[in-house]
Amino acid sequence: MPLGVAGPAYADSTTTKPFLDRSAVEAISLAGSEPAWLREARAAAVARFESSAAPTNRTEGWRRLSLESIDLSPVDPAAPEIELVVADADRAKGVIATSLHDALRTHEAYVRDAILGPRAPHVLAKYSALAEAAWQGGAFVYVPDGVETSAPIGLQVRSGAYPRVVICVGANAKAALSETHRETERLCAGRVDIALGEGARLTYAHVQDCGRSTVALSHQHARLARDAKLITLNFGIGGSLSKSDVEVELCGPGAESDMLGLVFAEGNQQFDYHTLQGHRSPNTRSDLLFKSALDGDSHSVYTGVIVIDRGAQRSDAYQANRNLLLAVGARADTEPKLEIEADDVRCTHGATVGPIDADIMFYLTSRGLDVETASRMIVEGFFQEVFEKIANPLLTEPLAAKIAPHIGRLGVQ
Amino acid sequence: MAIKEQQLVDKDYKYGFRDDIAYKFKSRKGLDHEIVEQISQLKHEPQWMRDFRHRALDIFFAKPMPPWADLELLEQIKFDDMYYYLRASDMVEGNTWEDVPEEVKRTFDRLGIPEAERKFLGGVTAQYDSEVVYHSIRKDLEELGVLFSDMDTGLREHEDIVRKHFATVIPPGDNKFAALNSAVWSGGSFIWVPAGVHVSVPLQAYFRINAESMGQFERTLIIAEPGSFVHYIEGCTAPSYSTNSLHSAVVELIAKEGAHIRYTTIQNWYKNIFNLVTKRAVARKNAHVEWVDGNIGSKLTMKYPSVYLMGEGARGEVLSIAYASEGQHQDAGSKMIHAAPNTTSIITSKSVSKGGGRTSYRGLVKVYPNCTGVKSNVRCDALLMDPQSRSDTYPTMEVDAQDVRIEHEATVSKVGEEQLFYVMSRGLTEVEATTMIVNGFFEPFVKELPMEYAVELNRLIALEMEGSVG
Repeated sequence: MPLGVAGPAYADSTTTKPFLDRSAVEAISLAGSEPAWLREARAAAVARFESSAAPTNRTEGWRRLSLESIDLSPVDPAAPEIELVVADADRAKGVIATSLHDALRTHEAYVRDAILGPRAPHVLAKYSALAEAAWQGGAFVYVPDGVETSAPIGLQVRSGAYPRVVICVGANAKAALSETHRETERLCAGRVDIALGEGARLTYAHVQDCGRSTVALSHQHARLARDAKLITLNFGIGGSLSKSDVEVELCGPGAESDMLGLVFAEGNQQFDYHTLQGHRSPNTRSDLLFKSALDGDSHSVYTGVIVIDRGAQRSDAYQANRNLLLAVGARADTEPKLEIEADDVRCTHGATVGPIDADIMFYLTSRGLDVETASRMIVEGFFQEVFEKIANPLLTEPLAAKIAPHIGRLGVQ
Repeated sequence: MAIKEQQLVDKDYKYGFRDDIAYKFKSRKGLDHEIVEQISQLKHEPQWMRDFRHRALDIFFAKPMPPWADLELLEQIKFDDMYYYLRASDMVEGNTWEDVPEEVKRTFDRLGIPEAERKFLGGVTAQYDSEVVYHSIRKDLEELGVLFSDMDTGLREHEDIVRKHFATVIPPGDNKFAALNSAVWSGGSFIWVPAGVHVSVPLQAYFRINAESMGQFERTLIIAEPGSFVHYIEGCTAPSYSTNSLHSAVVELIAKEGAHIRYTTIQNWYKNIFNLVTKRAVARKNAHVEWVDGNIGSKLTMKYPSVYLMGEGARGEVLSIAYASEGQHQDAGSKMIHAAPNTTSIITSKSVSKGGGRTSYRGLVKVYPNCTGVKSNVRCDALLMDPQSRSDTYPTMEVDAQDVRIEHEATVSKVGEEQLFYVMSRGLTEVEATTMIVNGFFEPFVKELPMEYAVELNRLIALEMEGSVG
């Protein structure tokens, strides 16, 4: 049952179903016997979704993408299939991995903090609101203070449109988590909230391996307390159009963030990553390396911003975006931005777009390799730099295995 | 040291004086089709130019302000409270120095431009308010067949050349301020260099704003025929007034096959002036265009000199500096549009923010499909002098061709402690040391300037650095 009347924002929208079914959202909330604050939060999210205009090729943050054959209207909410894997030894130490609904009963304060956290405007806000309005089940991971996990926590999302994930790592705890998306729905819009306590450490991989006709939208937001350290990897290989907003806010002094990104695109795939390195506190450090290898007629868009707030002195920030063009039809747009309001800082960024380096190719072929083999080695090496920064083979080996067949196809027409 | 003797701070603008001049004609304040008609009639313009102005005015009214701009500052512009056309005297042009009105000469003397130097250096277009009052073309320039005049004269005397090229690089629909300029333009330079001619002396023009709430809308068109070379220098200083003034120029450069144009600007408007300028060049096959662009003054500058590399082997270069102190926002940058194979571009941008000033670099490198062999390098460095200042970098790269090499790098930092310590350990004060480091930071720009400009710029930086430490 569509609600509301078509406002001017939708006047030129080509989508067939621009509205979210508000009664379905209420039904989800009632079925889960949700507390009043959550029901209100869902209603507010529905309102945010409906009040923001549907993106078009003229919308900032979307205009570089080809949206002609893309249906961005919401799909009906359905309970997702989510699998959570935690080592028994870690469960015994108090690590919790459960549905977000169950966590409402056991860890309501943490869930509430994540769900009612600050909402800054950003390009994916409309779809982030959709996930907040229509999520079901969801996933909640909690690592108690001081606990160090023995194996990476696994989180697999196999189906569903609106995965909602909350990850809380307590003070001085240490964990690794891999979140893999294999949805095949027409559209999925996810939201991830990560909170790291003082001195906490988390290595987090977000793997987008959705079906080739899926529009995969993901908003990831992390807040770091004093001396916390977060390593994130966004790995993109699936979907028709993939758009992610990865935001890390360094809220306590001494907090550190390494943000990594890897994309292998082929065919008509479009990948769009937006990143935020938010230095809200002094003595914070952030490093970012996003790499895309683009084959076929694929297209990659990277827009990232480093923001250093007034007063966030002695911040150190770096941002690099590297694009490797493997085919004539491939295309890369990059927009690395800096907004600096403190003077005692060191802030650098760089971006490159180009084909395989002719010198490296010459070197390898002069050693007797044919061009195809040399290309594959170069692309493997291109990805290896990122894997090495993660320094966790348990997380990166499955990813390397995922790319291998794609690299194997390079140069084979 | 000279710095110590000149205890001038920002409040005392070095060139902040004005002469009282009896304006012979002053259009009423505000902007509508009647004013545009009046300007065009006074200039006895051909019908096509009159139509062009009216069309541009409609575009200006229809276009919104750019949403990404510093709207807080832009919205302070009161378009209805401004004059759009003025001229200092009925005399259209002074061919000899003696014809130039006495008040105008006095203003130039105060600016410290020696007369001998003016005569030595090519033709000097002295724009006094909206009309060119002094304009000399050296005899040898005439012998070379080079046309160098103000834009109004260019339109009168060489209508065919102007009509063929005017607004072909920057149409009025390009942006709101280009539309405004197209509707009310007045003055500016017109240069046409015949094929194969190398103009060895830089051509110069001095612009001044001299009436309260007066907008200046120069229109410059430079055409370099195949294989020619020309260097044009534009420098601005303006007297201080309390109400906001608007300066919105349009500069079009056309470098035909194998031609080379260098365009040098030093912008030092007083800190109440909005400087919203559209500058763009077209470079044909193997042509070379260089923008050397210095932004020291104004309240808000929005200026992104661009080169459209339309022919194979064309080359574009931008070397720019920006300096922003209290109340200033230098929103500058550059665009390189690679629309042909084997084109190359280099952008080097350096900025210093001080006392709460804000500098932004906004740029674009675009490579169209099938433009193979393109190389582009963009380098932005920013220095922040204190915790109140701000620096932004917004580069954009859109690459739609495979065999290309596009690089961008930017850094933001403060003056290095080690550098300061080293220089001060050699016996310099902190102010002197900082000045020296900032001068060194700007050095790649300064060394591209003619000597008298380099000297003046170094002196300005020294003045600005006064009171920057503490």
